[in-house]
Amino acid sequence: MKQYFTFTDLLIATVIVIICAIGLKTTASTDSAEKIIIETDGKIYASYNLKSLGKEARDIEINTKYGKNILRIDCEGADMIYSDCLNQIDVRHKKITKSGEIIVCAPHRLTVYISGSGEADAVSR
Amino acid sequence: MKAKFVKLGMFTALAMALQWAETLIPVGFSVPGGKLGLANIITMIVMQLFGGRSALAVTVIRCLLSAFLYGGVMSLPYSLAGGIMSLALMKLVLKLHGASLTGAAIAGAFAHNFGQVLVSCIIMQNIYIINYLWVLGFVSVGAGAFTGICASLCLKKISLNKGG
Repeated sequence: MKQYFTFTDLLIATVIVIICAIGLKTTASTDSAEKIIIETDGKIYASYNLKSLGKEARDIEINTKYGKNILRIDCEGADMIYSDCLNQIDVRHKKITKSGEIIVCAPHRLTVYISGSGEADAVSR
Repeated sequence: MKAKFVKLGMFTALAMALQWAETLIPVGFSVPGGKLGLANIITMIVMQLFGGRSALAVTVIRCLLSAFLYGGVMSLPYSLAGGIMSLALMKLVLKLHGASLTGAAIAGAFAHNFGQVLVSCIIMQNIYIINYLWVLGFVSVGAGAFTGICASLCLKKISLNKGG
């Protein structure tokens, strides 16, 4: 019977942790957050300029052929507060505030992300 | 031959039950989308007892049945991509010198996340989704270690009761 945790296993775990750490570091954007972009099926559904949004939160209802979501937005960022999807992963996601952060509702093919200055649409394709 | 099919069917049912039972665990990981991947314990057991092809069959059938039972057909591409990627990498890792099921499970859990994130990127055409992978990657190390050790322990019990 093989051991339960070998040196090779430790190496594998370490490699994965390093890959993820590098990934986190390189994708962390230094851009200042500029826009909230809502996309369904890969097409832009709506976008909001953070500067034009007040401190008071607004609820945006997103209705697609897949279902309904409610997104709460203010000048800091966006938070999914309701979804009629099955897994509710998007609702459990924390509020996004930084450029490059994203909330995904896979069953509804919906993504909400924050774009920074300049890089917005070139990256999302 | 018949006995093998009966056993594979039972393992598939067990994997589906575990997949459902997993949803009862209150969200232990604070990472959205993170889960233990208990069904992978069964995939690993089948892989070790009956080989890769049988494990592939069990995984694909489980994905198909679960999609209709709990996830909705929309979830099928995600679970298939995750399941197949994970099985392929686990098979590969076990060929490495000195790797045990635990290492295979850790790599498999990461491959599962990778497959799902990749499919999400393609379906939703948004490369930012890759940011989910890094956080889920950390979870996969813990979850993989857990399921790998579970599978090893189960296999030890099963090999003691051979012929049963």
